[in-house]
Amino acid sequence: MMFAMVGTNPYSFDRMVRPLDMLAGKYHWDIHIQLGHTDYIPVNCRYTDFITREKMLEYIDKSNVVICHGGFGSIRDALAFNKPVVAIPRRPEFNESQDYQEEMVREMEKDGYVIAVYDIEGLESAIISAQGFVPEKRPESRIPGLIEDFMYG
Amino acid sequence: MNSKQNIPKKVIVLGAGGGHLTEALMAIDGVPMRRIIATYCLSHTRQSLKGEKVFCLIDPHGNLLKYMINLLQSLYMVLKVRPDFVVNTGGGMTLATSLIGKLFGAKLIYVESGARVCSPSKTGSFLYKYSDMFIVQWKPMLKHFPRAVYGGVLL
Repeated sequence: MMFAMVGTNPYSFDRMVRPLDMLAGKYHWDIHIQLGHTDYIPVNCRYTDFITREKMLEYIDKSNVVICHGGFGSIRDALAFNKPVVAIPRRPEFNESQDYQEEMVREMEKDGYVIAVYDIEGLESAIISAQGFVPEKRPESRIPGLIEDFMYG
Repeated sequence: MNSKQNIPKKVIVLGAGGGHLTEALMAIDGVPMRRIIATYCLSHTRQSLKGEKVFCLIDPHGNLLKYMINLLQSLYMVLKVRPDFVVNTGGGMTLATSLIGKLFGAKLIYVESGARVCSPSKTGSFLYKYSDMFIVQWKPMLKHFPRAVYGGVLL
């Protein structure tokens, strides 16, 4: 199965969900969508508006591809399970968010952590190429070490 | 070994909500300390933070009355805990505790969000001058915070 999430962002993200739903119908994909505040109601996918963190991690674990908006938390949670991630940054000019998600998604893409989709026409090929995509290994963060040294150094 | 290292520091860990809280817990992962997690509590929060000391703070949301409540809660928590450090990963809910903590002698460690690659957060910009240690997760952020330390992304 595939899992798609738009996070808790208060803006609707029809630009991601509608084409994804169409693709699910075309390819008979088994997709569960966390809809959040999205207006569009899927017809080919299972969906819930919001789920507990535990349930979300369960869905990620069970899926073979994760499709998500360009939220740092969503991408981080998917990468924690080493899943192929297709990340679609929300655009404020389309009334999809207040913040720009593109800069962070581009950095993630540059480091080989995600497959990015900026123009939604690319969603189909991105999901297909995500099957079998292995994200680059993430280096251990130095932050706990920096904090420990600062506290006890 | 320095005998000071045997005494775990008292820390208030501020994790505003959702992503901020997850980042806070990742930032302190494995660091020895006696900690209390101060967060915005939802129905599942205490369950998810099993085994931790949790303090629930109200989220001000630009509401004056809620700011006052947050202020009083922060004052109560700081006086009760007397922290050596306050670790903060951002969000408006965390301002009062950070400043009151500083007032009562705690050192402030601020970790700018991993969502911030090129542009700083409002909370980070405000608390930068009060922080004893300011950590950024992406190199471009050093332009905005020259005194900061680059820690790499919490992934």
